[in-house]
Amino acid sequence: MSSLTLGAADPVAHVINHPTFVTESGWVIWSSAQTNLVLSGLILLFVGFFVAKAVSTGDESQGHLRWITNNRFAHMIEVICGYLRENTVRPLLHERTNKMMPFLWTVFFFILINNLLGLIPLLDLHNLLLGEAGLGLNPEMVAKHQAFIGGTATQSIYVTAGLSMIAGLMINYSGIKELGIAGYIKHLTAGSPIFVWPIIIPIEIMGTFIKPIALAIRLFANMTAGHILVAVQLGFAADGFSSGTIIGIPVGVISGVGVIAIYFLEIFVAFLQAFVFMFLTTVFISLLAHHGEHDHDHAHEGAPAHA
Amino acid sequence: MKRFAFLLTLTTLALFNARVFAADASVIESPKGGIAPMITTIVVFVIVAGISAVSIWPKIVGGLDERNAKITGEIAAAEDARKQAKEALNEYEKSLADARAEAQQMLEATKAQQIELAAQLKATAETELTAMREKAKADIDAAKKQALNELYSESITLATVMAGKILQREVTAGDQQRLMEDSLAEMKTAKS
Repeated sequence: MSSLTLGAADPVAHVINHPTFVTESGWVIWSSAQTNLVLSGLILLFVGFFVAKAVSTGDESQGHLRWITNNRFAHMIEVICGYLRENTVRPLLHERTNKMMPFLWTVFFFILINNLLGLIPLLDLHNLLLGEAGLGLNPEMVAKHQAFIGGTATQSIYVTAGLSMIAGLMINYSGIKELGIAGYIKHLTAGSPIFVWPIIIPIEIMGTFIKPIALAIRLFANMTAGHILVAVQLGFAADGFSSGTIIGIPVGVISGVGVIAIYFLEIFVAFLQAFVFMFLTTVFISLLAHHGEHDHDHAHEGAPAHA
Repeated sequence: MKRFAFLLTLTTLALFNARVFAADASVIESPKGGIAPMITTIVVFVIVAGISAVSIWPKIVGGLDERNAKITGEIAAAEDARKQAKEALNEYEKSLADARAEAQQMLEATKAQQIELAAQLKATAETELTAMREKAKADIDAAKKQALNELYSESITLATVMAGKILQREVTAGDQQRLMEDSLAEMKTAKS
């Protein structure tokens, strides 16, 4: 039973990435997080094609109905897309919005799907199928804490680092395209007097790297913390009920109720963190623009508080 | 309530927290375990972003923009139609008011014409009536005069015949003429 979250000796073990194939020298070739990533990519494409078909204008034979999105789920996605484009990105990027939206939508939905996949107990289902507690298809693998699938990909700092690298490249590529090489370099002075440049330029260069790093750490920390909290609360519930003591039952009940509440919070956090990652990427892109040069410091002040 | 929750959390942590803190070390994954997921992330993201940028987002953007254009166009058309309808209504109301004023004017003119015509007709009728009355009177007088003349003539003729018979002689035309003139003179005298 220790292969399941409720019976885990270590709640963190069910949150972190699990290797699938490891070389003799200890390099992980494939892990559960990678399967989650591929799965989330496939889900995004599958759902994306479905939604694109539902949202796009239909055949003329449908009359006025061809303008209507008939599927509720597609309608929901369409509303999210519309909100992100018109209410979040356009006020910041203005005429660059339409060019950047495909990338920003992909960032949002890719992270969101990964976050939501992490809330499905795939690892527990995997361990039930393979472990001794379940069907026992491959108990040795479970005993070694290896898994094909499960966990939350976005709780891995390496996964969030990968996403941040892409975001960082896009931020700087967009900035160079907008400002030109000379303008981009000039932007590193933040419009300050020349005698401040020895201080400002290194800070700005560091900022170029710190921004994506902050994105990576924020997403990783939020997802990890939330999932550990859920795992710990489940551990409390299991231990409380199985302790057989008077205090154990209320601890189990409170933890059980608490874990449900936290699970709802985690669903919200899954959306929030995907939004924050996308939104901050947008903010960083918008800072590297002609209009941002003059108001550089103000723009930083105006940026939302980092979650 | 918050204090209770805080105390409860502290109590439960005190009872069960040993393994939580002990697990901290395993949260950090080593680079040997992280490079592959990082590369996979980049590869999967790039593939998904590439495919979706070509096959998914343009369709969604197209659908959203076409619908937006359709709705905006329909609203603009409806706004134009409303404006036109309002203008037509104003024009209609103005025409109606003009027509009412014209009708009133015509009614008043007609009434005046009617009164004038009635007065004219009345005057004409009265004139004609007076003329007819005068003519009738004249006719009656003429007829009366003629009748009287005829009567006198007959009477005289008859009286002449009777006088001839009484006198046993023929009354000549001169006698008859004289008698008639005398009689008429007497009649006129008697009448006056």
